[in-house]
This record gives sequence, C-alpha cells and structure tokens, in this order.
Amino acid sequence: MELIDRYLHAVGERLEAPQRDDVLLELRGAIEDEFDARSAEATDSDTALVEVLRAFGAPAQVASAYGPQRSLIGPALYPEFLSALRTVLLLAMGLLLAICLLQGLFEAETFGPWQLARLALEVALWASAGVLTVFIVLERSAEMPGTGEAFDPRQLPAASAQRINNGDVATNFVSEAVFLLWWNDVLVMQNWLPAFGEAFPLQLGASWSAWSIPLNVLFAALLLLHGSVLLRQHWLRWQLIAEAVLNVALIAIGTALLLAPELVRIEGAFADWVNAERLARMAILVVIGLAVWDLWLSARSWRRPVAGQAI
Amino acid sequence: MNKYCVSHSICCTVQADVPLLDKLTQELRRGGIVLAVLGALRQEHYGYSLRKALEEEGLAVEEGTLYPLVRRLEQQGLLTSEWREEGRRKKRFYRLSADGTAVLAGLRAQWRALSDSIERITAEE
Repeated sequence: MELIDRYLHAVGERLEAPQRDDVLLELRGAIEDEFDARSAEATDSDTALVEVLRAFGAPAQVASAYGPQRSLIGPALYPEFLSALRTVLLLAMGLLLAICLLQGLFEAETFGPWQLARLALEVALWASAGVLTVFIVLERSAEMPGTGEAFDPRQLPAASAQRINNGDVATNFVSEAVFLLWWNDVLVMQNWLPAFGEAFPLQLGASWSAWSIPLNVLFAALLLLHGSVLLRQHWLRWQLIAEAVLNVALIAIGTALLLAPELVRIEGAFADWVNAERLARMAILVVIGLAVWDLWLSARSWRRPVAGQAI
Repeated sequence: MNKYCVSHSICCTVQADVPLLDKLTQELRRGGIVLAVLGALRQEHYGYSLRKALEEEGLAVEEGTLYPLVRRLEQQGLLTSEWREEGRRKKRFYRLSADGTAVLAGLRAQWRALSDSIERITAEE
C-alpha cells in the first residue's frame, strides 16, 4: 500500500489546496476498491496494484483532469496575443527608427551595424516580454477581451484583400529602415569593424546628391506602406497599387543611377584591388531586380481570384 | 494495423500511433458518457460502484476519465454528494440533483433526436 501513498502524494502535489484533501480521500477509496476487485482474481497483489494505478493514469494526467485547464496563453487569447505582439513590435521598431534618425540628424550621433542590431534586439525583447506578461496576467484573471463579443462579418477585410507573406514584407520593412538610417549617415558602415575606419573610406560620388530627397521620400513611403501592411496582415487594393507605383519609382531611380558617372569613390590601400564602381553598379542592379520582383508579386496578387469562385 | 487516411487534414490531426478509428470512437463516446453517468446516478452510487454499473451495461469507462468527470458534474450542480462509511471505508456517494434531473431529461431528448437522424442518414439501403 506504500505505492498508493506515493501515487496520491504525486497527484496531491499537483492539485490546488482547496480541493486537495477531498480529491485524495476519494481517489484512495476508489483505488482501494479497484485493487480489492482485481487482487481477488490476480495471483500477485503487487502486479495487481501496479495495473490499477496504471489504469488511473499518470499523476500529472489525473491532477490535470481534476483541475481547470490552464495554459500560459490559451487558445481563446492566442490570436489576440499574436496581433498585439505584432503591433507592439512594429510600433517599437518604428519608434526606435525615429529616435535614431532624430539623434543622427540633430545631434550627429552615429551607430555601427552591430550596435544598432543589438539595440533593436533589446527593444524587441523588452516589448515582447511586456506583451507576454500582460497576456499571462489576462489569462490568469480569465479576462478575455473581445472574445465575448458577437462576431461581426461586416468587420471582415474585403474579399479582394490578400493575406501577406510575413517574411517578405518584414524583410522589406527592415531593409527600408536600414537604408534610411544609412542614407542619412546615422548608420555608419565603417563602424562595423573599427579597424577599417581609416583603411576603407568608401564615399558616394556626386551622382547621388540629386537623389538625396527623392530616395528619402521613396523609402519612407515604402516603410510606411509595409508597416501598415504588416499591421493589417492583408494587402488591400490601394496598397497593391501604391506598392507597384513605388517600385516603378525605385526602378526608375536605380536606372538613372546606373547611367550616371562615378557612383563611389574609394581611397587608401583597398583602392588598388577593389573595383568599387563595379560593385556599386552590381548592387544597384540587385536592388532593381528585387523591385521588379515586388512589382511582379503585386501584379500577381491583384489578379488572384476571389476565394470560393471558380478558378 | 491499417492506417485510415480519409483526407490530408484528418491525417494531420491524428497522432501517428493512434489509429483513426479509435480516435473517432473516443470523440463519439465523449458526450455519451456524460449522459450515461447522469442516467446511472438516478440511483445512488460511489465511484467504484458507478463504474461497475456502467460496465455491466456494456459501457466501460476508464478510471482516469470517470472520477474527475463525476466531480466536475457535481461542481456544476448536476449531482449531490455525501460522505458515508461503508465496509470500513469512507466513500463519497453521488446522486442526481434536481438540476441534474432536468438536464438529463433535456439531454435524453437531444440524444434520441440525434440518434434517429444519424441512423436515418447512415442507414444502408
């Protein structure tokens, strides 16, 4: 019978205090009844007891059957949690970008890539921890915001709205933020490896100066567009048009730059063996290629049939 | 053992080591067990005697399922209980409450209607 004591102890450890004694007393009686019945037929009473306890189930399983179903964040709150997490992360990253840009523009503060990545990671972790804590508290307090309200079909997105590919849009969003920081001299690549600061002085040529404001406007517009798409999780019709127009503008600026003379200047020890001009043009070609791809994706999304209609 | 693969979506929800038929049977029984327990508890029973009574009627219910279920039904007000000593052991005796009697009547009507419909729909020609 020592095995029954051990079993009940293991179950009791997992039960909440108010019901523990009552449940354990009832379980003991039930186990003993089952054991009496089974040992009358069995030759070995120890084996019979093991069989009885196996039939009741593992202590954790039994305890969870008696208690309320608990999750860190349960299925009722999980969609709200994901949505809140996405919103808070986007707002936090947008705020970080704005602060870095303002500091760079008004206080001439610069950041290296690693420094900026670490800062972004810290902000993202704190923001995620905050959202997680709030939702764990909500789960524990059994508050279910929004879930009690009747479902309203009129709030659904338009049938033409396309579900986004989070990876693609998030990659665009981050690339645009990084470009804006770099373009405004807030993110300084030479700070990546400090030893290169003097030896690898890469400077943009005069051809870029005319595009300073247009590129800022274009990338800020792309950033806002992709931020709003990430928040809503759908491509609406007007957003697809905006995506196409902005990508056409990017392709046009890229082509103009490709045709311009002297895109970069490089001095020092690397100048002899790095053809920086060629590398810069190849990089612009890659950007143009990505813009063409995004243009194609937006056109394809536009032509996608409405769900449930014949293909 | 045959693995039943009706469609991709069903296969994905079934664990590889549990045959699909067992899983579906388990789901089918779940609601019926509540009804059977309420019905059996029109007469007073303690845990073990209830399990035996159900088993004698051809409805074997695992211990790990039955005991927590009975307790949950009591917490929902469908059963009443009292501790009494029987055979030198303290036992908790359960019986259908007034609310439980009303719920049982409602569930029985639903069960009959459901059973008739399913029977008609699935009957072989």
